[in-house]
Amino acid sequence: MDHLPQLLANGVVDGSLYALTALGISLVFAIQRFANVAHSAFMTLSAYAVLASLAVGVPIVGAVGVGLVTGAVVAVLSERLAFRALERGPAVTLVIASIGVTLALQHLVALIWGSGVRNYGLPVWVQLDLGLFTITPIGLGTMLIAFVAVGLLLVLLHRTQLGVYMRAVSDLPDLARVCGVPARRVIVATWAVAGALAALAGIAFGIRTVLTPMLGWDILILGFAAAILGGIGSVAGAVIGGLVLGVGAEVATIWVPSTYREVFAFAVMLVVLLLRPQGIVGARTRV
Amino acid sequence: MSTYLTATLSIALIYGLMGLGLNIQWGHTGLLNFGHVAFFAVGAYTSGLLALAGMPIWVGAVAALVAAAVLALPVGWLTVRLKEDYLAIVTLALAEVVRIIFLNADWSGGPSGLTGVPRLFSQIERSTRTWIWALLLVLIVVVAVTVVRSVTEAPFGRTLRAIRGDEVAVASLGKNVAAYKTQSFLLGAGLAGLAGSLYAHWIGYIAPEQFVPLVTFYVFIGIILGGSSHVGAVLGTMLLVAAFEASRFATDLGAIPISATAMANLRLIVVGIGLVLLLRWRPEGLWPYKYRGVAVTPTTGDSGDAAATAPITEEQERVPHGRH
Repeated sequence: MDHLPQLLANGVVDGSLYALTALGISLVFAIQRFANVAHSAFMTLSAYAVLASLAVGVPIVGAVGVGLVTGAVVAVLSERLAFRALERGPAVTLVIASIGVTLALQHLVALIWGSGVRNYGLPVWVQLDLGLFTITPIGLGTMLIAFVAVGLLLVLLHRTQLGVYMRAVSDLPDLARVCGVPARRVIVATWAVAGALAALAGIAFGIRTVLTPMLGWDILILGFAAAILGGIGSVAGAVIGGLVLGVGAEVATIWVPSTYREVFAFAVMLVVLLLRPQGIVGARTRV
Repeated sequence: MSTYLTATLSIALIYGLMGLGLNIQWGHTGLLNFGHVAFFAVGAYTSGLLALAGMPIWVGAVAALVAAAVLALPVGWLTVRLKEDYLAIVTLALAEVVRIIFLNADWSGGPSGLTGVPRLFSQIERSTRTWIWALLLVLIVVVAVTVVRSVTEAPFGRTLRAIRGDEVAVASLGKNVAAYKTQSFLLGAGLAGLAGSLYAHWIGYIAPEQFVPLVTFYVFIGIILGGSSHVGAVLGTMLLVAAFEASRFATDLGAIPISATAMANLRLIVVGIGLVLLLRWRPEGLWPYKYRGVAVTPTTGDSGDAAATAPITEEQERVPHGRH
């Protein structure tokens, strides 16, 4: 068990990224009430937008900015072009439509950049030795970014007019409309924020590992598992769900090979859905 | 050329059989199964492993059907508890789990899968063989459609469609919604398992890479394109496979001046956009379901007979579907 602290550290870094993914999924679910599979494609496309920016000589901070804007714009466009016309129908139609959006965007990425493995070509950093465990500056950085993003989201939801509107639309959409909440604008803003969160998660995965057109898709199930585990529709839930899943999957490698990470996530998801469908934190939406 | 056409027809029919199964679950019961490929894979591996162990092929086919249904049983129980889009995520994850197990286990041959799966009619010369295969598959699909239709025209099928419309109303009439959903799920999964078995013995080689989530989505798009009548679901899926093959063929011949990889990506971009457009403009598909059985006539009341005896269409059966 000497390496347990190391596993925990790795788990927290991974978990913070699952949390970031879960947040975007959860946010759209809270407002639009459907499981948006296309979140994965927003992640992938934004990560590649950063790659393209770096290739033309944009410095990394600017490139990340381009990535965030790409994520927000693609999410808003998807809402406008694909989801809006279907939102009065059953939620399942929206889920299926999100598969269509995913297929189109994911293969657009493959068409433009090819299906091979790419990377940002960032300098390799030495591991920081913190006594009990080592961590890369990138790992530390992505973790910090995830927590800053969570903080900003909480401020947005609880300290701004838009956040009040968002929570109102999430709780009782019809009442919110009647009370004069500009529901359409709130929905568009939610997609923009979710898209930017997807971008952040996608870029962080791109920095931490490599880029492939399957980048977002490979994380999607873990993101959903984290959102469901924590309680979908809740910020704290997404964070706790992500961390528990990240740490759990790392610690589980003591007993099962790491190739079975998704199997672990799947098992967690099943147990939660059967025993406590509202997740660890919330009881906001019925499963 | 005729070998190419019959081979395309065969693979289209195998996919059509999968479409028939998914249509029972989605088209008739409203179960959003995003893991259909898992049952296809389990069928293919079951049949492949049994045949490699020296069992007759028909035993493998029956075992494939049963194995897929056995895997479906716990999922069927889950469907009782889960709202549709949670079911979608759980089944999607299940398909990945099944694929990861086949990819990493020793008995399934790992990434290289099972090679040398006995092919049916392998002693017959190739062009004749593809003809026999195509005819056999047509026969199997026709029988399957007939069986499935007789099931869905029965009160059982009416109950499934009523569940799709409003499951609370159905439960309040004393129907065991859970049992109906589970049976619908088992039936659909069994057909996917059978399709998997046929696939294994048709192609002679199976590997995890053939069972990616994309397979499920092809079938999904096919049945949405075709519509929820059983023939529609089969034809829609076949149409999609045929369109894929045609575009591949045109690229190979050089009729479309782009690389095969670019074409593969372009195809999926078109399919993705097409799916969204289809849901928007023709959600009922090309051949929507029409109830063919005897309509229920009210025993009392003096409303017009014509209206009362008119066939109940899907639209009339469905209760407006609110958000839960």
